[in-house]
Amino acid sequence: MKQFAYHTILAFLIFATGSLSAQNTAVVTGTILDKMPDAPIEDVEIKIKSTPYATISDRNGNFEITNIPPGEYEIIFSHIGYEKLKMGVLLATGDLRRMDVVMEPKTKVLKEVEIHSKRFEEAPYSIEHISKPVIRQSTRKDIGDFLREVPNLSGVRKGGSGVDPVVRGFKFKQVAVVVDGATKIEGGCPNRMDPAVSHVSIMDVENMEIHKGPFALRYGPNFGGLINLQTTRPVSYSEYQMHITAIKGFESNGNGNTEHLSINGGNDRVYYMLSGNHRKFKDYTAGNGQRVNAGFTKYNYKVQLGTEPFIDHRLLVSYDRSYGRNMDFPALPMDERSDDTKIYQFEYDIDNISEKFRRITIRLYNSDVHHIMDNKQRPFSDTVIAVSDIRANNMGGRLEAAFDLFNNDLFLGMDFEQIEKNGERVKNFILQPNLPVKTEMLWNNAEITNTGFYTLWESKRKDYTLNISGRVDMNSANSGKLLLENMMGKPVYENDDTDSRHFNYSLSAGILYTFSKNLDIGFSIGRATRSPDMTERFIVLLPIGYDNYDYLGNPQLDPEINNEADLKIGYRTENLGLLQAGGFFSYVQDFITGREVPPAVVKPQSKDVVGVKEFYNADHVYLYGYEFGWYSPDWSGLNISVTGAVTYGVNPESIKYIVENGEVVGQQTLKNDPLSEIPPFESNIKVKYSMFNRKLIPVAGVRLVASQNKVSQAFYEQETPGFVLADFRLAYEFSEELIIHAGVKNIFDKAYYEHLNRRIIGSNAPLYEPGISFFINMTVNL
Amino acid sequence: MEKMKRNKILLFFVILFVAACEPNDDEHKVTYRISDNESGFSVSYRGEQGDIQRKSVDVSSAEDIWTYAFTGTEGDIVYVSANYKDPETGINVEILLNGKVFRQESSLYDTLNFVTVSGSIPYE
Repeated sequence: MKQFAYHTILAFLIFATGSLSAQNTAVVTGTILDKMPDAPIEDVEIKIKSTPYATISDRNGNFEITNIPPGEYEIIFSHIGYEKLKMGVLLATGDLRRMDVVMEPKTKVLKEVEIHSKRFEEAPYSIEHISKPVIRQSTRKDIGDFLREVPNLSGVRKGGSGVDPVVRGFKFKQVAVVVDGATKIEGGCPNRMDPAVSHVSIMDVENMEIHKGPFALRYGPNFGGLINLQTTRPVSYSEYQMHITAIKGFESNGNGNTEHLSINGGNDRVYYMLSGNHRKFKDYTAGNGQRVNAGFTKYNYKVQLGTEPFIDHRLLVSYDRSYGRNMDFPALPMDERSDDTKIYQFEYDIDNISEKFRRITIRLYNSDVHHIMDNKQRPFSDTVIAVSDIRANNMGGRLEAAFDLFNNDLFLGMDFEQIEKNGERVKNFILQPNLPVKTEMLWNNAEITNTGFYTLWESKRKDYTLNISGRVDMNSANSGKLLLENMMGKPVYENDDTDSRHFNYSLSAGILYTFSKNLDIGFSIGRATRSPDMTERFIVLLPIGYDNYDYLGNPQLDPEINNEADLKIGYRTENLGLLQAGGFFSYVQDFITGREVPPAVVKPQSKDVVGVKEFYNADHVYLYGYEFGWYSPDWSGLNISVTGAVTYGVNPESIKYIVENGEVVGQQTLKNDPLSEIPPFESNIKVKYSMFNRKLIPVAGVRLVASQNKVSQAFYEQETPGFVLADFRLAYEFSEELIIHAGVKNIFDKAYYEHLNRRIIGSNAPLYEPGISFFINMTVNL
Repeated sequence: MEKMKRNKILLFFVILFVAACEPNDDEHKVTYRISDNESGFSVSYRGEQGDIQRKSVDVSSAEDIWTYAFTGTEGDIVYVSANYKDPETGINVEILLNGKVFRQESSLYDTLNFVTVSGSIPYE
């Protein structure tokens, strides 16, 4: 059957006629790469149809077929995990024909089980891969919301959108987020309404990689985990083609509407992609009938243009313009009124520079966020209307060289990042005569610069994969004076000692050993260093934490250090499928958290807070946890998967401040207090059955979340009850052009909330998740 | 034929996409209205451009009504404050959105003799 073009040919083919030889035969040679950058594919079978000529690609994706008689042939590239690729070639005597091929992972509906099993061997530590078909089935509101489906990933939620990812209990800037392996985005909001992932449309994402632990050091400083969002790219075609993808989705609870349209096309020299997304959700109803303010509107368009100016050279430029409007955040003192974000990316790759010098990669980017938030829909706005207007800019790049060093991979690179933030809050005292206005600086020309140099050495052999990686970072920061004045113009707080410099180093090493065809064991150790972020350094008296305090930044904080060890085991048989399990232990030195500042030093400024906390370095904390998964083989179309994960966090010595009548009256030292905002044990069970030659696939899912009783006393954290949810969805492939996903979420209309959902502002009321919701997604591929 | 079918489907989705982008209908007629005063008053109010304007108003009877109207958008701050001259009288101050009362306050025989009404145009 004719392969549908969008799912099959995502390749470019460069025909470069080499020097003529005196021989009577021809040679075909080349490299085969995964569509994801920097990933050669081993064990691809390359066969010339109706001839005995064939070979297998080596670990670097290279292949060569010699002594081919002149003639016209069809060459077939096949691999179990990738779409088969066929290419015609006309060979003349003496031809040395180079064919560099990009293959795409199989993208039929609902192949997440296969993706898990296929990928297990690739790294000594745990990496989750989520592919486009799985992403596009989802009706999740944004990337952070979607990532909560992944084992041992969760998210801090404060409103209808903008869920902030948490990886194994590491959160905020402890989790690095990069787009396309390099681009970074700095959100504007001090309360992280707009974390980095919220500025990328989930429908523009081709693949997500979640590197757990501090081991991936190639993409910038990484502390507790790295999320790499690979966006959909335009690809070249041997002849001009154009393809269209359109998606329309609807969700009943919250009257959610989503639209996506993308057009990509081009030829072997110039190719393009235009895409647009629109997403609008209104308030939803929780399982207990409560109406939850969670409305938002988001839309964006993205333009990408690629070219191959020379053989083995690729250039891609892109521009992504996104908008957010009227996003409700009931757990915060303000709502996001508007978000205007511009992301520019420039990418240049040069391959096959020499036999040993495989590739140069250049990435440059600039992301610019304009964030406006206000309290106009809050009761407090009856007396004071506050509007915050913030600009956040992140500019940087990455330069990397890849070498083949005695059949091992060596990557050497440097990256650079400069974050600038500036913004103010205007308070309008609307009941006072002549409408007085007070302006306060939220970010006073704050700046952080990080320059890093890194290396990764990777040795892949039949029995093992060995990784050793390291990086050094020079991190510096400064800001205009940290200042807050009262209505009379007298300083409530001021600090002009804002300069700081850090020299950080990070190391990791790991081995994945194949003991037999059934058993793999991976072990990794790492030490990663993270300098404090903008908030931890420069925030001035804003209630940004879980607890009820105004927080004060500390420009003289030390970096925090994560020392972590990971173990993972994979056991696979034909009858049993894949069983995998893993655990980690993390010892964090100089952990950044808050401690109280006496009112005599500085008084709180926000309504209803009990005091002021300043960021400082606690001596150490530790986190540990485990994950497991079982992925059944394909039993005549039936697939079952069971996953589970839990993390524990402990602060050996913390201080609990005793609060009476809204004031701190004393303190108590606690031993082994749990860290705050650590998700509880969670397990997911999925059963799917493929019918009618995989055209109809029903999937039933059950999610079991335990209660969280291990809560931080120091942070007055509240316990969360456990819950069980059931979902059902159906994927139907009418044709290769039309796929429909439909289903129901939270079938039993359970009233529940995640442990990491913040409480409704000014109360202890939980932020409930949606009750029962029906959805339908229609995807058209042309 | 195939191309024609593709173009039709593309057109359908473009229309769907454009239709999803609702027209920006966030404009409202704002009216400040001061009544029930017979001694005259000074008024300060936030105008269309966001600036504070001040004015002294003479009235001949309690039936006289002072109004100021402009077009505002959602989220705009609306503010009007009146200070009446004779504490033995009173005043009624209202902000109307699209002809309907949005905020209203009145005062009668009050020694403070001023009334402030304000808010922001709500988002729908």
